Amino acid sequence: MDQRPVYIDLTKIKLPMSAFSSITHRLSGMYIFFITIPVSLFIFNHSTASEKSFNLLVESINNISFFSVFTIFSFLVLWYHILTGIRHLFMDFFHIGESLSGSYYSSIFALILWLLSSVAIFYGVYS
Amino acid sequence: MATKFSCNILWCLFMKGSLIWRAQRYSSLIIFTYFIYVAYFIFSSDIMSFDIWTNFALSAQLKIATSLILMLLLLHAFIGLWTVGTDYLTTRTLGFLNRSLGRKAKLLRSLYYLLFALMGLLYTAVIIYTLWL
Repeated sequence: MDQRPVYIDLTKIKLPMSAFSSITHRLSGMYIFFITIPVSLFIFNHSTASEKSFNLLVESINNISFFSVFTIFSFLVLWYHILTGIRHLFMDFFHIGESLSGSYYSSIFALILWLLSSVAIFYGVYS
Repeated sequence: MATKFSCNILWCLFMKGSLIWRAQRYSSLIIFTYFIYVAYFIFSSDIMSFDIWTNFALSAQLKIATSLILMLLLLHAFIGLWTVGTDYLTTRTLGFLNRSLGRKAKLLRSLYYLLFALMGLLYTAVIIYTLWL
């Protein structure tokens, strides 16, 4: 058995911005499959079942509650996955932003765009 | 010594890396288009009522589109989840956490594949129930 010391102190490792973007794209993908899809299926089911359940759903999403924040957050995770996904597609299809600085700035851009639009969406729904 | 790469016909035809790579990228574009279309409908209408929503969501065109998109979504998700599984649920990466856990990597990975396959079946059942029954 190999007994070499393994140095994997995660607190000592600094992720580059592009690696942060890549790993959060994967994590958000996991979140979407296991949480956002069930949430949207629940919403789709209730919004088409009857007028009563539709109105209840609209009302509960428009008021601040755990369900409301959780639902909006779940869709914002999908939005983040889309933004970082577009970034990956630019690299995969057109080889745009593959350089060290290019991937750094596109990651920052996607993150800031997501944060700003998240604030705007929360403000838009609750105000 | 180099070993010659070999695979059986089925595996070579369907589990070809470049095909899977393309399938995931192109499916993402189609799913994205669908989301933009639905989001545009929701946000562009001033008043959203039950009638307007169900006329749109339960129209024949959108029922077919939603069902096809679900299939593409599962394809896209399965490729992504499978990639994540083969990257992290391995003897090496799990072994970093715990050696005995690392030895169970293959079993854990299989259970993880089973989990997301079952979730995919469940989602398909819910969509069939909501849209077609």
